[in-house]
Amino acid sequence: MRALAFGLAIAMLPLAAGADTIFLKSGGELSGRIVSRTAATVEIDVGGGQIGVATSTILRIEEGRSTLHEYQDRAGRIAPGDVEGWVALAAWASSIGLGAQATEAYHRALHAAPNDPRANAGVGNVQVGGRWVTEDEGYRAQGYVRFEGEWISPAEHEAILRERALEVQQERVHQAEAKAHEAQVRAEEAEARLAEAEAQKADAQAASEGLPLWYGWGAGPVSWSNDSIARQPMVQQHPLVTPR
Amino acid sequence: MGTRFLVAVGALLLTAAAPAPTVDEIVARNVAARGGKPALSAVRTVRMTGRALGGPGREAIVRREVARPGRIRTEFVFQGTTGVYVWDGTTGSRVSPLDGSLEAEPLPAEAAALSAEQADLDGPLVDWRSKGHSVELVGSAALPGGAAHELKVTLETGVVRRLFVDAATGQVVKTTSTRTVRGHETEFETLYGDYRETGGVSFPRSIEIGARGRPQRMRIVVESVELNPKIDDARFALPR
Repeated sequence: MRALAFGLAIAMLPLAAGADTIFLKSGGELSGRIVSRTAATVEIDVGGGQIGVATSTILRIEEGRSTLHEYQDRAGRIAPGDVEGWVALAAWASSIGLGAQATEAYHRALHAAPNDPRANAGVGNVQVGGRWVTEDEGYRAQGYVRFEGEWISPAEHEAILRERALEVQQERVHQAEAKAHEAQVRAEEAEARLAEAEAQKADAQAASEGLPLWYGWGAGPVSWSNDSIARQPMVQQHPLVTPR
Repeated sequence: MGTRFLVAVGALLLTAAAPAPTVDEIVARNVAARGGKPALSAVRTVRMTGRALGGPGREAIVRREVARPGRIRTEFVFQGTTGVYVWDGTTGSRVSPLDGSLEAEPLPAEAAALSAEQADLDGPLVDWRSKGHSVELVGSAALPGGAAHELKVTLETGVVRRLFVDAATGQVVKTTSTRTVRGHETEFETLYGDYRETGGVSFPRSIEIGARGRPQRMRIVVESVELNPKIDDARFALPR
């Protein structure tokens, strides 16, 4: 795996030479490394995935040194066992919105020092019973259940299932003009539980959709995760650089 | 049971012993706490920058520009992408790479309504009657930071917000609203804190948003506030 990662890192080196910002006619911006250009499309790696941009939507492209490029330079100068270096790099990456790189750097720190509290917190780990566990395991340990991408209390979970079962039942009653029975509600509950299993498959996609409300600030994205960027496999799955 | 809770209950009991203030008194106190009506009216535009923190690996740079009358632009910078969300007082647009859009498109209805609401530089309590809102004092609430007056604010649009005004400071410290998410009625709460003055007007520097009873939270930390910067009208519209 390391050899594969090293190969990928080497393969990406020529791409690191181009650091660009694409200014869209719509007013948005994309900053990273352009990895390919055709007459119709420009493909840019923003560090959390690659985005294909139709040239017809591009106002202009400015070549320059992107923060992603700087991250790679800095990462290349940090030794594998330099915990302080990786933690500092992660904090810097996070502060400029490079979430994927921050996570990567924290993982590097964790690799060197598995119990480092900053690195653990940086990747979302929490302490349960004196040991570090993932954020999800932490919520589970607190009694929350995952439902459609959200961690909620068992009581709320049950309430949602009941509501949905009732809605389905009421709809059927309405259509068939028949009376509803408690037994049927229970059957619908079981049905809803089965449906939950399917809903959980969509968890990864829905994981960041729980807070679309930006009350107190203004509008913002509905989805907020690297997954919403990556149309192709995430670059962060492989080291962007090979540390010395 | 924490000390802060006991203090809050004590403060609530003291508040309960005193005659309940009227809505107008609470609003006047809030306006005064924010810097007073003249200072608020003197703000024609405001620009804020800060960070949105949504958990590990999710820290974004956020910018917000608001201008009279009722216009707002927010930007969200994350992982090499910059999303822009604008409301020009009548219509809203967005280019939101994280939502898969690189071209300008209309703001979804809920985001548009939210933008229109946030574009009110003074907030819903200032001149609420002339804005067509209604405000009703529901009672007192014991919040972790102390007792608060709970106001039910029905906006001119019919949307209901509950505002909790700190009894001691007069600042809004919490709002709640209910919305239906995937068919389930969910109460969202927004906590405001770290009020600081800029040019004689106070702004919350910490805004925390989450659903009641759920552990995940998003926090916005406002790092800078600039009053009356020159903002081109064109910034509140996106080319289509």
